[in-house]
Amino acid sequence: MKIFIIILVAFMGFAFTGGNPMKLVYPSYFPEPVYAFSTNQLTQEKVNLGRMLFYDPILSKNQTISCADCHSPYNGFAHTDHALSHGIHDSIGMRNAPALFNLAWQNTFMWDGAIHNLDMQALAPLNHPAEMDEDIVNVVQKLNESNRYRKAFYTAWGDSMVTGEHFLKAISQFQLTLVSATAKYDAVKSGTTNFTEQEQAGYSIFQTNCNSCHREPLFSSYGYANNGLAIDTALNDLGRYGITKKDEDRLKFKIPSLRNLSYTYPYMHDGRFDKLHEVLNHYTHLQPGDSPEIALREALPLSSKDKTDIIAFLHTLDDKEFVFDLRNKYPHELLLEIKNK
Amino acid sequence: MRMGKKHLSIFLSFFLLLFARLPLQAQRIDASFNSGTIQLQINPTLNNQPLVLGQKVFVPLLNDSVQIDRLRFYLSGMSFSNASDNQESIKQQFFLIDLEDPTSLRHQLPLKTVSQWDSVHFKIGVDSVTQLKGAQGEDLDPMHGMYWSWRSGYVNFKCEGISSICPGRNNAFLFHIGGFQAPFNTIQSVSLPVYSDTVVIQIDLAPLFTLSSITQNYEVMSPNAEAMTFANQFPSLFRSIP
Repeated sequence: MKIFIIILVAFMGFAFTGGNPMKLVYPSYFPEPVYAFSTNQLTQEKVNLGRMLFYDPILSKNQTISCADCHSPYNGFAHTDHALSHGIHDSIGMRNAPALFNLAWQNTFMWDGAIHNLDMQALAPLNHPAEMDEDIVNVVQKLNESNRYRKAFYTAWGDSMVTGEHFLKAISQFQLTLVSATAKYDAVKSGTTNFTEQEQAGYSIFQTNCNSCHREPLFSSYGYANNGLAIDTALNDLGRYGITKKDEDRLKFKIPSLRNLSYTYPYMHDGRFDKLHEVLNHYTHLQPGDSPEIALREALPLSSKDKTDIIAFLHTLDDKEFVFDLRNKYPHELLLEIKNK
Repeated sequence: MRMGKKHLSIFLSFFLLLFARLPLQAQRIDASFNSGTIQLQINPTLNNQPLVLGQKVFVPLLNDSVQIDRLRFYLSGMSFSNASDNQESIKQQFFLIDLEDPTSLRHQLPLKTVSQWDSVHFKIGVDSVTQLKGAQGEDLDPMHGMYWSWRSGYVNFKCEGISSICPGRNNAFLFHIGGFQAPFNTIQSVSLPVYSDTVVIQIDLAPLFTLSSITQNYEVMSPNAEAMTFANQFPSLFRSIP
């Protein structure tokens, strides 16, 4: 009987407690997130695990490429200096690696919306021959062979056996916590500071000309649009059409958020513009018929002063606090582990 | 010691209960029906011969042999019904049938209602509500090679193999049939008669191998019109045998 009690107590001591629940923190003027948190409740342990995975090149075939290689925290989780994504064996991909933040408010992912649930997104770069060139079966096997990961999976899920489901959900959890809502714009919204005169002027021009697609406060409707860019004939990327096969989706790409632009250049799906004024010049030089979107039937009527003002406003969307948030950085324990190998 | 006695008495009562139920069980087996459990058996065939992976089988329609190296598909939302309006759904919603895994071909399906079932109903594939959900486990874990990575969505039905008249690389044909959004919603519904407690479902793949599928549409790996053509044939491949 005594032994029975001892075993019972010991078992309770080791029993999985479910972890420390976390709540996604975001401002009151943000809409409700669309991610189904009920199917993947945030805990600190799962977020920690997701962060380890995000920074670990174990995910790639030859252990050289991690998620963070193309989604660097210092670049708002995009990749500057690379117009197109740069993967395994110095492969160059088809598109500009997008910035990762406010993902809990997005229903579809990738420039063409090929992915319709954040949990499943990681499978795409993992498998892509020019990105990580790996298979989820191998990744799960590698993780199961690692004591550190078996421990981390146990701490997070109460099960040291790594499964595809737990692996994908942990990566989602870390990415979901990447909330960008602490730019100057947000401080103005919450009444703790004011725009300068120039920023305010830029804000007004933005609201008239840009807000229908780059909708506040996320600065994207997260819909798809053909903004009139001429097709790059080396890539022949038809965008959303490749997924839906609908003619009206030809050359449509996902509308990106305008937050953190100073950290996430170059711009557009193929990274063709390095500077914000090049982007604005594209919109002011549109010819009728270039873009089928109602808002872009004609060139945007912006003077050069308007452009300067808009750029001043766009800089208020740079979220330095988010970009340099230590909680999102490379996990130190991972570095130590690799050093000790 | 007191605990020991208690355990013994519980054990004995179980034993008695077991014996008490025996005659009833025997009666049910005689009627070859009505038990709460259905035995489900999936028999994949080619030209009505049991399908063996990696083995060549002559297909008269092609005047060539076909060798199948992989066969995986989802059965989902299974339910049983009868004429007296009884209907019951199976608790396990998704079954990944994989010819490489013999255990996936046989299932015990517990049912709450003890009844004489007339029909079994199921879908071939994964429904759109489930497709839109996040990462899932068990038979729906994306580790089973039945989830696309270049775009979201389960492959509902996967069949790969070789045929010497197939112009593909290494004469290989690859049928990865999936897609859940109109106009390429490839999920299919099937209803079959039930004859006894043991439901044997035969699926004969021969009709899938036609000159056009083997020499023209031999690589179908996207939700598109060709995938729909395949999917529309699936229900006719399934039949239950007494």
